[in-house]
Amino acid sequence: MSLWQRPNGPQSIAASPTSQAGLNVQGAPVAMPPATLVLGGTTETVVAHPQNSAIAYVCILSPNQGNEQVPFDLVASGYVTTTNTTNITIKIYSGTSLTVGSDTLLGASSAVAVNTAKCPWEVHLHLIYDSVSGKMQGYIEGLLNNTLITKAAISATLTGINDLNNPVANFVISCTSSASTGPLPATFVVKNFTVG
Amino acid sequence: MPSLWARPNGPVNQFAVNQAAFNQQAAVTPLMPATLVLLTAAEAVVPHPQNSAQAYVVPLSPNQGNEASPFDLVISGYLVSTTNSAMTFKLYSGKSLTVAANSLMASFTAVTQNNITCPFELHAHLLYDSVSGKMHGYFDGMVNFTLQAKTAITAQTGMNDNNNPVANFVLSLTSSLAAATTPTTLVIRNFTVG
Repeated sequence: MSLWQRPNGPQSIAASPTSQAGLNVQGAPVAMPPATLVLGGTTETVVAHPQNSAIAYVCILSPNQGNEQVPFDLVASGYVTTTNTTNITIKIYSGTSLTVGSDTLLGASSAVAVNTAKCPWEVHLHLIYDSVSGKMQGYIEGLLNNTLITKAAISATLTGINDLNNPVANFVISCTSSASTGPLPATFVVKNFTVG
Repeated sequence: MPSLWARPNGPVNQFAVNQAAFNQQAAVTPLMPATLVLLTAAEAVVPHPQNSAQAYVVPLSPNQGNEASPFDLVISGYLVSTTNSAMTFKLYSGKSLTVAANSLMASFTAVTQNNITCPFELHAHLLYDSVSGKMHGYFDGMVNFTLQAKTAITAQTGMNDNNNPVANFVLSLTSSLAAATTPTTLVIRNFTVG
C-alpha cells in the first residue's frame, strides 16, 4: 500500500449483505467503492457518498491517533473525464455538508483546462493541530492534468480543534466544471480520500 | 526499520545468488549499489551492477494499490567528480541502455560539481489511472546541496494497472567535462518505487 493512502477515510454506511461475513467466516472490512460525481452543469458540487447520495462523502479524522502536535496528511486522488472544452477546479473543505456554503474552504486548485480528456488528479494537504491552541493549520499542494497546484497555506485556520473530539475534524471535496451541461457532462471520480 | 524513502519495488537481482543451503531459511540478497563511471561527456544510462549489458531498471509491479493513488520514486546515492563538471540527471520511462529508446520523464537542472564528492537525491511523485491511461506527476530533489525546484514531469501514456510491469524506469547522467583522465563516478544506493 502506498504511503499516500492514509489510515482514516470515509465510512461505509450500509450493512448490505456484501459487507456481512457468513457463519464461521472471519469478517473483513469491505473496501469503499470509488465516489463518482457527474456534473451536468457549472455549479460547484460536493462529492456525495457512493452509498447514499443524500449525504456528503466525508473523510473523518479520528481522535487519539498520535496526530496531536504531529503533522499528518490528507490525500485525495482519482481521475476526471470531460466531454467538452472545460476547466476543472477541485476544492477541499472542512465540514460534513453537501451544501458548499456550510463547509469551510481549506484550499483549491486553479481552474485547469481538461478539454474532452481523461486525466488523473491528486490533492494533498499537510496538516498539524494541537489541542492547546485549538488550531489546525497546514498547506495544500497537488496535481491536476499534470498542472501543479502550488504549495500554499490552507485558506483558513480551523479553530476549536481537540484531539479528544470524535471526530477531530471532517473533510469534504468538491468539483466545478466551467462548461459542463447535461449532454456534455464531466465525471469526477474519487478513488482515494484518506487522512492520517 | 527501513526509511520511508526506500520504496517497496526496486531493481531485480539478475543472478541466483540467493539460494539458501539445505535446512537453512532463505533470505533475499540485497542488491549491490549500481555504479556508472563516465569517461566522456556523453549521456549514459546507468547499467545493472550485475550485468553491464543491461540497464539498471526499476519495474513498478501491477496491482499494488497504486491505481489512482499517488506513489513515489526515489533515487539516492553519491557522486564523485574529478573536474569542474556540470551534472545533469535525467529520469526515463523505459528499460534500455540506449538513451533514445526510452521516454524522457524528467530532466533535472544541471548542477556544477568542482572536484567534489557529494550525496544526491532525486524524487518523483507520480500518479496514474487505467481509465485515462496517463501517468502524471512532478519531480524535485537535491544534488550537491542544490535544490531542484518542483516541476511537472513529461506525461506518459498507455498506463494500465494490470500490465506487468506497469512501468519501468531508468536513470541517466551527463557530466559535461568528464574524460578518461577526469572521470565522474555515480553510485546509486537506493532506486525504488511504490
